[in-house]
Amino acid sequence: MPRLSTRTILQAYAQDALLPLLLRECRTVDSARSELRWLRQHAIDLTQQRKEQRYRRLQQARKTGQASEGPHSPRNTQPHRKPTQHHSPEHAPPKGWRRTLRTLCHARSRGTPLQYLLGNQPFGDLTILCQKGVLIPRNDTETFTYAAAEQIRQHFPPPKPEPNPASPNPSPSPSRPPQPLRILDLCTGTGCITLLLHALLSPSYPSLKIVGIDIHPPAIHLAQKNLRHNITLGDLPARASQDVEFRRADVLACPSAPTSHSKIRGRVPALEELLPCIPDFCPRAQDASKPNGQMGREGEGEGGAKVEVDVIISNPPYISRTAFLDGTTARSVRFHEPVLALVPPSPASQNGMVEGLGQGQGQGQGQGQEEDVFYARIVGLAGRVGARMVVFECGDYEQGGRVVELCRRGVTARKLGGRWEAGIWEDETVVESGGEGGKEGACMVVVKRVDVQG
Amino acid sequence: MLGVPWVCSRCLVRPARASLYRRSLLQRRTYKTGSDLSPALLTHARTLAVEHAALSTQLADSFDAKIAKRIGELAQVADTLKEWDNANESISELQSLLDDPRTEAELKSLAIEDLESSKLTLPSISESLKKALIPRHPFAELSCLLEIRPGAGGDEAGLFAFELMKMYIAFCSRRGFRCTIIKKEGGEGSAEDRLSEAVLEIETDGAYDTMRTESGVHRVQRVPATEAKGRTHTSAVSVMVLPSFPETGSGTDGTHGFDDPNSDYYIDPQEVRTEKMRASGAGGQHVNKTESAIRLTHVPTGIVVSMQDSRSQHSNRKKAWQVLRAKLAEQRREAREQELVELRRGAMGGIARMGRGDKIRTYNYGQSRCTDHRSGLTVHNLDDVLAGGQGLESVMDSVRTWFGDREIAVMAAEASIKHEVQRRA
Repeated sequence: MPRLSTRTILQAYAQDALLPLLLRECRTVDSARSELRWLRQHAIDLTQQRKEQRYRRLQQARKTGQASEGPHSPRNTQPHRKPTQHHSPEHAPPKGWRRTLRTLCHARSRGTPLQYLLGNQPFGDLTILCQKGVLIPRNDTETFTYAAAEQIRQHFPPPKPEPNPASPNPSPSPSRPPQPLRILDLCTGTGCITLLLHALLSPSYPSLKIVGIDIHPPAIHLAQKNLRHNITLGDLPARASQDVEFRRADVLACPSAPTSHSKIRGRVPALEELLPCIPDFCPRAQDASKPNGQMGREGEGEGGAKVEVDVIISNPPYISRTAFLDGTTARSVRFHEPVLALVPPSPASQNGMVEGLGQGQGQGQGQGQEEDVFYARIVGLAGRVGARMVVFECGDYEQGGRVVELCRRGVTARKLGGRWEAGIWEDETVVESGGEGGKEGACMVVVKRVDVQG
Repeated sequence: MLGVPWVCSRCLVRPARASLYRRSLLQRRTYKTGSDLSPALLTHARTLAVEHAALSTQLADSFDAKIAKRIGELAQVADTLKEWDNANESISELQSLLDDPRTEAELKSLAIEDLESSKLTLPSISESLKKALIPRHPFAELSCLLEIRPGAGGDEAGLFAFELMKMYIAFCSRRGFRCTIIKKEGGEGSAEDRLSEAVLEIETDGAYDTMRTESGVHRVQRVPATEAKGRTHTSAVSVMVLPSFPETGSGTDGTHGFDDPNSDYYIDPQEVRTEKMRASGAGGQHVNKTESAIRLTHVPTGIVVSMQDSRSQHSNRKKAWQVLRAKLAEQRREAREQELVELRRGAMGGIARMGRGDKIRTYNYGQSRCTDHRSGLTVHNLDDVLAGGQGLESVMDSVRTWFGDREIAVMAAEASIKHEVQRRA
């Protein structure tokens, strides 16, 4: 990290005494100024809330004898309107907000992520609540989720709308509801991808099932909270509460082997054990001979339970141990965000279950990188559940290339049945200024099965 | 009779004049178009009515959405014209009744009464006919974006720009318009009360029609807070009212389709360069950048829109697109209007076009007045205007009337030329 020039610091100080603090994390005056603006608004809101709470408590204490409840309601009676961005003259900011702001700025200068301080992060049109211990959704992931939704829409043409779209009455659908589009989001964290996909896809798919999986109980709780939060905000349709589910499971664990994360107490079900418990993922009729039912599910025999998923999307931990420690990973991320969500467990600690990486290849590149554990595992899973599309976020283009290669090998090794296409998704419309050549940073790998029509 | 030998005439005049002033704080200097309809305008209305009738019969045979829409547009003209004809007919009938010497006296008195009432309604009918003849503005039913930028005048212009922004916010809240700041930049320095650019979004349908009177350069004359020697400065703030289009997909009426390449307001996504501000180095989970700025450049016109107010890159991009669309649509509309003006100028010369480059209004603090240079209305209560109150509304109303008058005048002139040409042929 290059040293900040004295000039920059002085220039920032001239604008606001708090800016140099933020500069430690932001590195540019422009972004520090934006952060200061957001923090200031938050400080004002926070102080106001505290004040009202105190006032309410006082009133309650005074009225303990009386049965009547106070007429005052919480500040934001209509939760879908954000608090106004300007403070209008009649509502002067409450006293003490400056001190709150200073505390926030000091915390930020020590590297606490802005999203933990503010408590949320906008993600598309949604507001994703953030709390310590769960990975914060990134801007890159937001872009990728939009692209993934577009890819899904192309690969699985949505059913034709009803002949009379003018009257969207839900009743006159045929007697048997159509097979839902089934999406599995692995390592969901805050649930951001799951929820945004639902928001983007639900208008075109009348029947949809998205399940988010995570190993970390606080993440599952937060994801469920986010689901409710966005439904109350009106950013997600009410049907999301049926369509979206968050479950706890260990993606890496084999059903036979004991749990891989000994740190987390209690037994975590392996993904393979969990999936048959989700009714939408099990084909409802045995006689329904689906075109993809016959082909391409070689590995399915042993479990007995038939599980089918259309799309698997995942933003798994992908930082290698070295990249975590050698300065590639930012200080704020290293100190304040959960390692569990960033660095995959080393294969040594697993009970020999990592497929596709070490075993069965024979060639020189057969020994994979340890940070690709999840990808290998998920590719294997995709073959078993008959998925027709897999979407990954990868840490950089090098890793993206490795994942593409991994999928190709999966096809030749008949782990993935049928013909597949794998590639790194490119965003042609965006020029990234500042970066060199645009080949740095995260990328998205899309793997599609091309011999079966959706 | 007053009990005094004589009264100085001035002493009598002065209180009278004072009361006169008090009654009308508003002075007006407008040019009036004739209150009655010019024959050219009338023939224009008649041709429209004939078209309406023809289309109606056509619609009876087969339904066509386009024709139905056109009929809807013409219906008011046709109806009002019918009313006008009826009124005229009844007047002439009554007149002939009066002129007839054989009519009884009782009937005559009744006829006189009727005639008077008919004559009274005639001006209001012709007024509404004129209004119906004014073509609707293509963006009239849309919501709008209001862009405020300080012009000449340095810091003082920035200060006044902030005050204008407050004025419009107050105006919107008074009118019940939903108004959000989607972009606010304060320029260098810590000062909260000066702007280098602001964009307000007014999310009420028809807001464009209300606010379009505000497009142009607003001039302020006052002693600025930054002035040490007490001199009056003149500076300028430019306000631009842009149409805000409903999001694509939701608005299916197709009149302002951006996805339709044949539409006037189509923007080819290939022509827009999107830039993300992004530091070099690792991305994804490795870092947690809060930088969310987006810059769009429309390559053919060179219009640049940058947006960084929201924490989400996606919503910044959405807003930037909205502003870019609005700017392009306004530009294209203006270009088309300019063409029309050129045509008209060829025909009759000298029709003023009020563009965004012209000074439209002056806020004078020393005299506490606000003068609109188009309608000529002066309001002597600057505080009320700047608080977005009744004063501002009356100024805006006067400008809207002026717009209408001007449109009528142009149309009348045009129609008369057409008439002339036809007669000669």
